[in-house]
Amino acid sequence: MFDIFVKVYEYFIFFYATALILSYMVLAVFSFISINRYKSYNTDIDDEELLNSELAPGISVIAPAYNEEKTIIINVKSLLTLNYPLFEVIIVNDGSKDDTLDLLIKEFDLVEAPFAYVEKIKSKPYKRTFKSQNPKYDILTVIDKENGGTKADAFNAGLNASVFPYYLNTDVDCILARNTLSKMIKPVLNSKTRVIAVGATLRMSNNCDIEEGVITRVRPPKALIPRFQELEYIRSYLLGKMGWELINAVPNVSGGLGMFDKEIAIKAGGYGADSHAEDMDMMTRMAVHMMNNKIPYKIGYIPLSCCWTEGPPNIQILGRQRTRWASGLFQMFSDHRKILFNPKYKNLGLITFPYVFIFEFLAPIIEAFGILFTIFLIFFGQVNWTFAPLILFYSYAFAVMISSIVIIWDQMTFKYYNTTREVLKLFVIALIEPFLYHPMIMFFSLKGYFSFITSRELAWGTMTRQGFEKDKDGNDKNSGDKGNDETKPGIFSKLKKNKESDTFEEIKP
Amino acid sequence: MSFVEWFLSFIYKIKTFPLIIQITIVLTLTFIVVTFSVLITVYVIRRKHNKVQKKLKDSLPKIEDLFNDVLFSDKKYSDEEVFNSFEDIVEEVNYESLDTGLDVLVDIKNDSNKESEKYPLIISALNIIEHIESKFDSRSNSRKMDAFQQSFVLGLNRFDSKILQYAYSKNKKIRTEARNSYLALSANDPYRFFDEIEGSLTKWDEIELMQYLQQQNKRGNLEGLGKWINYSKNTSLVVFLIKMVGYFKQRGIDEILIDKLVHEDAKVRAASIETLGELNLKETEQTLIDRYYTEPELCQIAIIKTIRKFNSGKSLKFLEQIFNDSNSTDMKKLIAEAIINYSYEGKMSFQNLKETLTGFDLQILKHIETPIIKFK
Repeated sequence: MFDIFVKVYEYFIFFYATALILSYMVLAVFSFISINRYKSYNTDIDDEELLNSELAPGISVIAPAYNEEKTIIINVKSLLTLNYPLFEVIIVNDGSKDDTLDLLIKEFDLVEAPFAYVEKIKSKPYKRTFKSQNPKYDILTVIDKENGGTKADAFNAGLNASVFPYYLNTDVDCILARNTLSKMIKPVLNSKTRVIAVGATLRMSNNCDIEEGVITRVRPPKALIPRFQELEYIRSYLLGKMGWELINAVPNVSGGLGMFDKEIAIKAGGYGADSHAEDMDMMTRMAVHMMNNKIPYKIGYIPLSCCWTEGPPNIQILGRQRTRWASGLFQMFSDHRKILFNPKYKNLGLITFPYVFIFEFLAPIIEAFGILFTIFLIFFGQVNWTFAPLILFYSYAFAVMISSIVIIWDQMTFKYYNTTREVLKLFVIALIEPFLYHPMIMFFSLKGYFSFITSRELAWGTMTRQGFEKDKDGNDKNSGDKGNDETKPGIFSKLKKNKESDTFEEIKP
Repeated sequence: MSFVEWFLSFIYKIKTFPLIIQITIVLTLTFIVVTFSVLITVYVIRRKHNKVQKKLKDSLPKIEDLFNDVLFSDKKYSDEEVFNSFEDIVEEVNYESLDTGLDVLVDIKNDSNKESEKYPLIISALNIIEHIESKFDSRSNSRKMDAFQQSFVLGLNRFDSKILQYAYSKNKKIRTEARNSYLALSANDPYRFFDEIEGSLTKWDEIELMQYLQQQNKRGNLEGLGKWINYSKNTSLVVFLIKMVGYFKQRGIDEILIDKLVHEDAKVRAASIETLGELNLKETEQTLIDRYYTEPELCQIAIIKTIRKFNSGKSLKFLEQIFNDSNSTDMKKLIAEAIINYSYEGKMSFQNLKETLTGFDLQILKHIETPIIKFK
C-alpha cells in the first residue's frame, strides 16, 4: 500500500513539475513575441503625438491612502508631475489615523469644496472633498471617507469622484514614471477591440534616487529582501503577464499600477469592497461583465517599468504582505469558484483561472507536502541518494535559467540600470533565491491560507513605510500591523454567505 | 585520467541510468548552457550599450548645439560645413551616427517652439533622405515605423513610392501606418487611401489622421471633407470626418450635416450635432431642441453642448426645463454648466435656481459654480 502511494505521488510530482516547466517555457516564448511586438510598433514619437493631440482621452489617477504620513507628500507630488494633456489626481484618505490628511491640507493649500459626490459604487460613508486653492495643484482632489478596511473600498470612493473615462489605480507609495499615462493609454487607443485594462511593470524604489517625486536613477535595492522582490516582480510581469498578454489571458492587472475603462469597471460593480485581492477580483468582474454582454474585450500589458514601489525591507513586513496576498488569493478562488474549469468563461475559465489555481494557489501546498514527505522518506531510508540530488539540481538549474531569461528580456526592453555590475547583482540573486527567498514565500502563503480559513481578517495598509529619506534609520519599521485583526466567521460561513448573496455577476446562458 | 576519458566514462555511466534520469541529466545540462549563454549575452549587450552611452554622453550635447546653431542662429552654414562639423563630433558618419543625428533633429523639431527654415539644410547636408529611405527598406518593423514618424515630423513629403510599397503590406500594422501616413507624406495624391480604411478607426488612427490633416491644412492642401462624409460607408470614418469638419471650420456642407441628424447611427448624429455647434449654424437650434427628448444620452449631451455654444439666448427655458426633468447627475452637471455660461440671463437663471432648489440639486449647482473644481 505504502509503495503504491509513493509511486502515485512520484508520478503526480513528475507530471506537475513537467507541466510547470513547460508552461514557463511557453510563457517565455510568448513574452518574447509580445515584447518584440511592443517594441516594433511603439516609439517615443508616439508620446509626442499624443501629448500634442486634442483627442487624447482624459484619465483620472486614483490613489488611496491609509496612514501614509511618511511618504504622502512626495508621492502626491510625483503624481502631479505626470506628463499628459488631460488628467486629474484623486487621493482617497481612507480614514487615516495619523497626520496624512493634515499634511495634505497644509502642503497643497486645500479647502473643503462643495463637491457633488455620487455614490455609483457602494463604499464606506464619504465625508468631504478637498480642492486646492493654489492653481498649481488644480488637478488635485482629496476625498475624505470613513475607513473601509480594504484598499478596494477606497478605490470605489475614488471611482465615484472621478470624471474621466479611464482611470489609473495606483498606491500612494508608488513613484510613477512621468510618461506613465501616455505609455499605458496607448494599447487602449491602438486597439479595435475594447481594452478594459492595461498593466505595466513595477519595480522596487528602495535604492533609487528620487528628486521632487521623480525617479532620477534606478538601482537594484541594496537590502536582500527587496532585491529578491525586484527579481520576482520582473519575472512575474515580463515573463508571466507579458506572456499571457499574447493570448489575451492576463490574470490580473496589479493594484499598484493599472489603467482601467471606468464605464466597464462601474458596470461590473466596482471593486469587491471586502476583497484583499482587489486587483484580480476587479479584473475578473470586468471580464465576466464583458462576456455576459457578449462584448469582445482585451486586457493589455506593456513591458515598460512605469512604477517604483517601496518593497518590504525585512522578513516581518514581507511576511505580513504575502500573508495578505495569499489570503486574498484564497478569497478570490472562494468568491469566483464557479469560473474555474468552466468552459462558459472561455480563456478565463479554461486557461487563466486553472493556471493560477494549479501553479500559484496549489504550489505552496504541494511544495510543503513534498518537503514533509521527503523528510518522512529520509527517516525511513527510502531516498535514492544517487539520483535525489540530481533531481534537486535539475529544478534549481531550471529556476536559475528562467530568472536569467527574464533578466535578458528586461535588458531587451529597456536598460534601467546604469552599470553591468547592477545587472549582475540580479544574476547573483537568481542563484540564491531558490534557497533563501522561495521557502519564505511558500511559508507565508500557507500562513495566508490558514488565516483565511481561520478567518483572521487582514486590514489593508499593513506595510509600514520607511519613507524615501535616505538616512532614516527605520526604527519604527517593526512597529507592527497598522490594521486591526478581527475574528470573523469561518470559511464555511463565508462560502455560505457568498452563495446566499451571490453578488458575483454570473455568465448568462 | 584525461578529460576525454572522464567524459566518455561519464557518458557510458549515464547510459546505464533509467531513461527519466538520462532525460533529467540532458535537460539540466541544457539549462546550465542556456544560463551561461544568457549571462554572456547580457554581458556583451551591456558592454556595447555602455560604450554607446559613453560616446553619446559626449556627442549628443555637441550635436544638439550644432543643430541649434544651424537652425536658430544668424550664422550662414553651407552643406559642407554642416557635414564636416557633424563628422568632427561623431568621428565617423555611418548608420548609427546618422540615426543619432536624426533623433536629435526630430527632438528639436518636436520640442522647439521656434520655427526655422533651415531644416532642409541639415537634411540635405547629412543626406537624411537617403538614411530614412534605408530605414524604410530595413527588415525591422521598428525602423520602418520610425521612418514613417520621422518623415512626418520633419515634413518630408517625397516618399510616395516607398509608402505605396507598404500600403499593401501583409503586416496589418505597417499597412495601416503606411495608409495613414500617406495623407501627410505624399506629394501627389494624399487622400488616396481615405476610402480604403479597413474596419473601424481606432482612437490612435484618429489621433494620427487628425495630425496629418493639420499638416495638410498648414500646407494649404486640406480638401473639403464633405465628399467622403457623403459617400463613405465606413461609419467610424464618417464620424471622425464630421468632427474634423467642425475642427477645421469647413463650410459648405451644412445640408449634409443636417441630413446626418436623422442617420440611423447615434454616433453619427451626435458628431453632426456637435459640428453644427462648432460651425455656429444657429438656424438648426429649434430642430435640435425638438429632437432632444427622442434622442439617446449621447446625442442629448451633444445637443446641450451645441446650445451652449450657440449662446443665442433663446433656449434658456429649455435648459431650465431639461435640468428639472433629468435624473442623471452627470447630465444635470452638464446642463447647469450650460446655464451658468449662457450669457447674463443664464447667470441670473442659475442664481434663481440656487434659491429655489434644495438637497443634492443645490449641491450640483454649488459644485458647478466653484472655480477651484476644475473638471466638473
